[in-house]
Amino acid sequence: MSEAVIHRRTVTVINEQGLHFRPCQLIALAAQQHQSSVILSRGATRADAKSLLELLTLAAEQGTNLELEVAGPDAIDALNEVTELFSCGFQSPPRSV
Amino acid sequence: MKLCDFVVPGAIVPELPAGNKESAIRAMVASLQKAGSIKAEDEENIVAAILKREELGSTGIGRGVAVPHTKHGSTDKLIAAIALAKEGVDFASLDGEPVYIIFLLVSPPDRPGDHLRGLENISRHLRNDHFCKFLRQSKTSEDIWELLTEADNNEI
Repeated sequence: MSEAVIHRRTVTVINEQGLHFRPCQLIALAAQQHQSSVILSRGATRADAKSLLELLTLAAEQGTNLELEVAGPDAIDALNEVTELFSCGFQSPPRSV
Repeated sequence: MKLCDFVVPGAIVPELPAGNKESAIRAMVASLQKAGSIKAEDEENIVAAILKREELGSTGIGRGVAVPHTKHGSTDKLIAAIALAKEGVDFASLDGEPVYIIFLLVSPPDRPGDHLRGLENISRHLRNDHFCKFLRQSKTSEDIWELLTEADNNEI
């Protein structure tokens, strides 16, 4: 039952340059570490957060609110990790690949 | 924003000479200079900025595509070059595969929104398998420009 639960949170792009290539790369790398599905949406545009190509289609500028939806066995960890990236403006050191 | 709004027609390289990531980037920046989109005196500086950006992490995004880019004060609008590498170029992409299609972007530092919309536009079309396939099959600059126009008009 718990795996069917979708955890939702609104995240805000706070960094000046918006969701450009490097932030998208950091989100994708973080999402790929988890089994859970991780979706970021901007209005009708939904992006699989494990796909850099899909994240880039969000074109989210500074101040944009995005809906984060996570579902799966490690959903809370994934939710917190992706949220933290937004909170710190993607300033955390790049994780090793 | 459409592809034809920021891709420079004179900066389409339908067949890059065999080489590496740096030679590909140099050839593409040179094409922007020859097309009159950047000044000759800025060329080396732009190449260096793009290579420095690549050191932070490859812009190879999988599917045989790379999007090297920089923000640079020498341009007052978003501009892009396109190149095809029939032999493939090692771009140190995350998936380990060579790159056959390269979009190179140069955007003004004070217009982050335009840069994002350029990346969005390119990414959206690259998700289309037909677009990637037809682009790789293109032989001339004119073929590529026609394909970009069709993509802009959602005809692919």
